[in-house]
Amino acid sequence: MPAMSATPPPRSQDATILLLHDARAVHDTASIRLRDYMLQGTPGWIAANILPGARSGSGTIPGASIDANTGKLRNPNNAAPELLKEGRWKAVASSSPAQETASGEYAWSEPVGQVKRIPDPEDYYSPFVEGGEILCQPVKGPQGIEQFGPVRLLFTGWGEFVGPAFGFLQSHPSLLSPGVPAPSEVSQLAEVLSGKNPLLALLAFRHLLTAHQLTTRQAQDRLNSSGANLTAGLVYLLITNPSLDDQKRPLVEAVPAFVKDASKITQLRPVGLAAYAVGLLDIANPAALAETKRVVAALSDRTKALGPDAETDPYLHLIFEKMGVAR
Amino acid sequence: MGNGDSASTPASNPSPAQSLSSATSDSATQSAAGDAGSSVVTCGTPADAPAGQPAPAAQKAHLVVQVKDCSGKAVQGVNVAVSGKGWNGVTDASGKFDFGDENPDTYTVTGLLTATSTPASQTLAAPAGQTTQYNLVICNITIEIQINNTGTANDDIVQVKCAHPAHRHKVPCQIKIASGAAHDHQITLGNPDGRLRFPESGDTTKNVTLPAAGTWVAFEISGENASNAIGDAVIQATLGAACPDGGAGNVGDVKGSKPATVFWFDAAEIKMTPGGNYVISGNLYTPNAGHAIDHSAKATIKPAGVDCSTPQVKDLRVGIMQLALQGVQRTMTWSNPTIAWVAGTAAGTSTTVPASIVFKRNHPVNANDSAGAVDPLYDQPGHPHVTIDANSVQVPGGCAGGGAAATSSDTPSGGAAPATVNLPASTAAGVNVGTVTYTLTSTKIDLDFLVWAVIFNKSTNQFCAVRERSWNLHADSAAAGDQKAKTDAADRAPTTDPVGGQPFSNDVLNDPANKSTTQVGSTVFTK
Repeated sequence: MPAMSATPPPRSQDATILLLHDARAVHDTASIRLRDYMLQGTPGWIAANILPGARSGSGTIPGASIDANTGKLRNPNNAAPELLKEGRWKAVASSSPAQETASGEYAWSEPVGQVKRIPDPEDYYSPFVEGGEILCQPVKGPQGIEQFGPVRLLFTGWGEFVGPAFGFLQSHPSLLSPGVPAPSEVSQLAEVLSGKNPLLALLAFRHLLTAHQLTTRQAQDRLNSSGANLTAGLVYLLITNPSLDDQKRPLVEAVPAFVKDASKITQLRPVGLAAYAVGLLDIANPAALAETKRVVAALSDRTKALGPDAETDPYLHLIFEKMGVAR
Repeated sequence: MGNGDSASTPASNPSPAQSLSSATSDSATQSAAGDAGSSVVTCGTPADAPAGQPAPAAQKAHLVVQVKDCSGKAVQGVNVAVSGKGWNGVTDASGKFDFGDENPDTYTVTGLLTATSTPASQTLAAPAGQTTQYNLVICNITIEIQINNTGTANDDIVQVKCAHPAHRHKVPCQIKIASGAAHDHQITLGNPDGRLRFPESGDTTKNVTLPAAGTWVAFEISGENASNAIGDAVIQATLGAACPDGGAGNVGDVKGSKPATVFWFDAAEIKMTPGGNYVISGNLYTPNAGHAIDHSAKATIKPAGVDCSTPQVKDLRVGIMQLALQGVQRTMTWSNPTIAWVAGTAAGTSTTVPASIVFKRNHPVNANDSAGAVDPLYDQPGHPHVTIDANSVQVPGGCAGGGAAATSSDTPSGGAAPATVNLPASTAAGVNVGTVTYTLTSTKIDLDFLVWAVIFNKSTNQFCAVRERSWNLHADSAAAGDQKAKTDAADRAPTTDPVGGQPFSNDVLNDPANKSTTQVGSTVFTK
């Protein structure tokens, strides 16, 4: 298992591209706010596979051409290169039964080299260039990426969990609302946390964590009983949300403890992925970045302790390389 | 003996033996300092005449002094003395002092309110068997000064002038005659140790006219040089002209003072910590993890004891400003062209194409590296999608809850760049012969920055640099070796002014007018 994502949708099998896909999926899935996809109290969302066209991700210079006789670049408008994003989307689930099999096309271009104060996840990995499963809310009128509304890259295959998550939200409208949950809601969130819907579990984990209602025991139990994607999401949340447990200890300590107790490389990959995602996409969170260094150090130590197979694991090796970790 | 409740004997050696033959009984000579030709300074009302009462001891002359101000009010606390005799004392609540019985003679009695004032004096003959009262009139206005227009002392502070950018922090003040004046007074405000100005650079003094009615007159101060201790910058109010009420008083006599403090910032620093190596991540050329560089700024308010809750200080924060210097900042090069011929193109057809396509983003001016929501600082907390670091603004050290470093970071990327660029190749007649595909071979970032630790007023947006440092990033994805940010070895005192406001650096870079697409070399394809 060199990469955690299944194929399709990422069209490239380049390990770096796959890693970037996974990192954005961790960031985006852990950041989903279902309320962003509610329209006047009613869910309005589509989970869709993005199938980029062959030219998507390539550049062009609008109106420019090469004079085949002289070899000179003709660029009458002094245009700058643009990045093409084009392809098709196909719903895998939707809030509207009529849209469950909906599909459509997209095509737009973006300026190349646009300098941003804080790069967007879309700049690192674009599902509209490389493919992916997204949660979106298509809107009529806007051009460009705005036509998809708020876009979140999902872990591949997690589209099926979106509908049940919204169903739960509608039946428990206050449960994931901002603020400190009531004691009875804490119990309900704990049940959701240990449930079978990983998206709901991730959202419940985040809510308990940010409301300072998560215990170290709950965090450890969930880390030890989750699949790779959910584990990556949980670790990401622990790193990016400094919080204390019921004993007033930093909850993020659960991550190094989890790493220390890990006996398989498959347990360590999600931790590495989460740390990489933080380092890449949460540059405006210095506390999380500092925590990432600690987690990566623990990860490096543990991979060495697990022996040569772990040390040479291509997925972790790539993460260490990308993060500039000397080994 | 004596008058009122004054002491009955002189304070110091009041009874020297003197020859009776030296006494003069009725040839009094009167004079008054500052009012030659007048028998007694009167402030418009005649001074009291000598009492001429019989003295208890027939062989002796009894000497009494009465000090009043120009309004006729008794002045307590005046140091009075008989010239040349060493007899002295301090007036009581009735303004009097009794020198006691002395040998009859002509004496000059002086009165001095403060060490820096001009003494009042009167010379009279003191005949035997009488009490001679010397009447002194002094210019005894009392002046009140308020700094920051309040009567409290904790806000009697002003920030030292800023060198970069040059400006002066001004504090409103007011001054008035509290009592003792019959006429408006010319007063000169000054500060002997040079820590203050009134308020511009050349205003070492300021002349004001204070109404006798006690109306406040406004003035401003600014800080020229830093205080070593609380209250060591003293505003002095001196007579700017001869006392208009008459009475003893010369230009320069100190009539009031107010201690002030010129606060400043010490232990200022701007630290820069380079981050990771630059690598291509997706479409971006960015650090391998985290930031290109981390900023950390600190400063501590001085002197110790400045009240940070005062209006002059409460809004001051330590922050960071960054200036992006002019130059070509981003260069993307696509090379290694390949061609996909249009179907039907005859074998042997040749076409020439550029060997490389080069796209540059220029930064033709120095520009503030900021954004609208956080301007003029590089970063401020509380602005989603703009804030880089929630700790980017901090209370200065020396204040409650202060002293933590203001931190931020920069992670400039090359900007999203496609891996390939396709261009059609066509004849002058518009016949398309094929599509040429170029591959991204290099993304270069060439950035030079000046960064400052600044003292920032979050209410007025005014800023003042306290430390300065440079850093740069010259990274090329096609080059070997470390491609990472570098900084000056150490920070330094500011030499350049930080720049706030627009244009913002990213806007300059994204301006279509600052983009250029050119070709380099040529390659010939033959089908």
